[in-house]
Amino acid sequence: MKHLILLIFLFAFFDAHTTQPHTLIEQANEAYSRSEYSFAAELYQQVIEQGWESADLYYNLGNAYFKINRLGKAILNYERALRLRPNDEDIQYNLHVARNRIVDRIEKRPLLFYEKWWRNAYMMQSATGWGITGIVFLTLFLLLTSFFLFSRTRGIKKISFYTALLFLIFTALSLIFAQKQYNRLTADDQAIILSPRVAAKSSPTVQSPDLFLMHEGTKVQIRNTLGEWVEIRLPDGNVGWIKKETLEVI
Amino acid sequence: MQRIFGIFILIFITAGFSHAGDIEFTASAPASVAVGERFRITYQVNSRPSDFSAPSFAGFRTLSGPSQSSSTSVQIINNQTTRVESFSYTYELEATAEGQFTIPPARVNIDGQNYQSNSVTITVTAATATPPPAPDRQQEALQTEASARDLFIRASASNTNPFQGEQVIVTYEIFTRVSVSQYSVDKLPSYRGFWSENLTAPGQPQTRTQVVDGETYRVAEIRRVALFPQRSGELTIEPLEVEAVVNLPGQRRRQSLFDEFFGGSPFDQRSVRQIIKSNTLRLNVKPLPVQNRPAAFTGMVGTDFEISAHITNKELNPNDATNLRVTISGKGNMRMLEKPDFNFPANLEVFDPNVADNIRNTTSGVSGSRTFEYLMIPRTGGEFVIPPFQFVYFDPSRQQYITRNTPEFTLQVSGDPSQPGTAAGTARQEDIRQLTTDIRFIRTHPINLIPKGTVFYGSRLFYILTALPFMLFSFFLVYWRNHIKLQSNQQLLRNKRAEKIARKRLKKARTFMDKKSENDFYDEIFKALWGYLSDKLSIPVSILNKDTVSGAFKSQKVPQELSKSFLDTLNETEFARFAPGEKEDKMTEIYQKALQTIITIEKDLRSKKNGK
Repeated sequence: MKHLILLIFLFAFFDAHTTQPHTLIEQANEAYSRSEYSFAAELYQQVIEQGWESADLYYNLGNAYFKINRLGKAILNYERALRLRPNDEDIQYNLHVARNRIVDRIEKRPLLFYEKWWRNAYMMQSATGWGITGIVFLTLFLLLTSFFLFSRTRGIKKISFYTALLFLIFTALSLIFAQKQYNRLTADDQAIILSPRVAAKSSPTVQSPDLFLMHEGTKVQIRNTLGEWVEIRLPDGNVGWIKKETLEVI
Repeated sequence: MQRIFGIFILIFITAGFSHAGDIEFTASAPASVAVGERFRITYQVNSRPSDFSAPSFAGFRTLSGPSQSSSTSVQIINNQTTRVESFSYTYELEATAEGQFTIPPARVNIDGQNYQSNSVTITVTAATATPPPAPDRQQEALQTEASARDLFIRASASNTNPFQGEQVIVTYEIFTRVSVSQYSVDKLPSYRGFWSENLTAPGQPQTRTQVVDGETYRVAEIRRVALFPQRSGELTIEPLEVEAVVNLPGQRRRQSLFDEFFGGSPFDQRSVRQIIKSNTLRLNVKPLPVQNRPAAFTGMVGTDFEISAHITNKELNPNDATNLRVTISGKGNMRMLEKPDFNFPANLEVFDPNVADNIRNTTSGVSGSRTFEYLMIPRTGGEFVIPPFQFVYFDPSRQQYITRNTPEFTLQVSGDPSQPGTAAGTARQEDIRQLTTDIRFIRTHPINLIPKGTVFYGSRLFYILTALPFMLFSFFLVYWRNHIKLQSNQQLLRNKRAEKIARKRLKKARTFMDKKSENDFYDEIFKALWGYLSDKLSIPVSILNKDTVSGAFKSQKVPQELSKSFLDTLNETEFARFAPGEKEDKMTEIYQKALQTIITIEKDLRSKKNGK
């Protein structure tokens, strides 16, 4: 309870001091509307550098980068926005558009139908959303359990037992989904290539032979880090070493 | 899953399409011809092709072609529109050698799709008619052909310096001083860079005499062509080749009896087949002036163009059909005339026009008219305005662009403009076409910013909020337990003491009985009975009545007789107060009964408790 109050205070405190980032965002939105995209991107970036984030902010920044044809940055920010709000249709659409413009076409393994269902289920909400849902379901479960325990009528006892069971299952699922989304959110092994052209090498040295070429906007998985080199893996299974500065972690 | 579904849809769509628009592309030609015979090969297709490429006619000589023709018909039955179009390309070929020849398929391109015709196999048999003259009968001393001075073809153009698209009439005349028994056009020029129209009138050409360089020639016009240059610059017209059969005067020669018998002429008239070529023409084609060129100009060049338009029915109901008939007439390349590009209002469904030609190829050139008939169906009520159509052409004789307008038409359709027509269900629907893809616009509403890295799930607040319901639940649980315990303890106590209290009350009643204090006695008996029940059955005195008592007895499974005797006692106590008779006896009786009832019930309940 004490923490809750503390948190509310914290929010109030932030609210009092957020005038500046909000005006920055307003200026950025105006710049975007005037088609001054690089200026808008700069302003959005400033807000992020002040330590703020939001799905909408990343989305707007992604749009600005898209308009100045920096597809790698655009995709990076769309991915960040999607992490915070995985079910947002606009973000999904723009990410899709941006991905269609990049050079590399990498085929993803198609999901089986139950994998798809599972994915669609947990992608419905973000970690926060699932967390709140879980708490609501938990409360309902406990409420119905007390009904079951203290009711003297047989009918109420029976109904409350089964609904309590159902809510228990819902609670468990919500928390599993929340954990899954949390893992996605905090994963730091996903990155976007930002350099226009990168050759992946077979070992972390400049002299080693080039294995394959990647272009801006391609999403890779980081497997290993060694000094200024990272070992990346493409969705199609190709593995190679590239320099750290050519990519940015989502 | 989705993909499979998608494939199914695709199959259905493509099945639907192929059914709706079957392209038929066929080639037809005679199956067998003789060497030297002329025949036609026709390629027919039922949709407008954008590109036609002919196969090679190896083994045959191409005399002319391709000549194009097209026909369109639109049928409307019950609002269903059916369009039948037919385009054909015809070549005139001559068989040159014996044998079997296969002409490979021709190709057309329709809406980006390539289609092939069937291939045609033609058997060429040996020539049956006009065998070539036997060479051994000719004598080397004789003249083998007429000289170019005796026989030549002159090609002349009406204008050697035309504008692009202007009609040029090219005339081919044969000049002869020798007798020509027959001639035929052997090879037509390809007229590269021109659109050509044949102007030759059917029938035998008129002959006249003309003196050239002091020599008298007989002159006959063999061919007249209207040419429309398709590009500017110097264009060359290749020579025309004519095969003529020339009768040359022969020497008198020794005749055999055999010859005389078979009717050989004493004057040896020899027929010689000869190929003569015309001269080559060169045209210097001027480009059309760019200056003052109206935007609506589409490339028509000619003279005396007129445009007329009328609508059959200007007042109609929604979904009724009406026709807009536009006729353009003039002298020029009428077959290249494109359909007028009217700016029809929306909600007025317009079908592709039906084209009817009345084009005359006279010796003075190509002229005539082309009529476009638009079928229009208004889909809503209201007023439809069809703006004027500007027809612009270039008049080479006046060297300027001339504009002809159609009038503005107004269609009055009954009904409400906003209301679709009654049969609007039949209106054509179209999918929304994606023009281009772009990202969606930014979010302009106030953005709810959170400090970077704050995640509610897994945060301290989250765990607190998760623990909160549990805490509340356990608080409640503990509280409720205690409450119940307390209550049951009280009940237990009262239960235990119920008999004692009852006995006390009965004792008191007895003292009242001894004192003969009637009212107090009955009060006390009442209190003893009710109080006992209240304590024993844990029912508050306030809601205690005969019904609740019998219900409580039932739930405690007290035998029927017992509960009945208890209630009887209660009733009797109530009535005894007012009943007549010996009061003391009555009191003793009630006292005994009450005592008895309480004892038996106590026994019964106790035995049940122990039995458990």
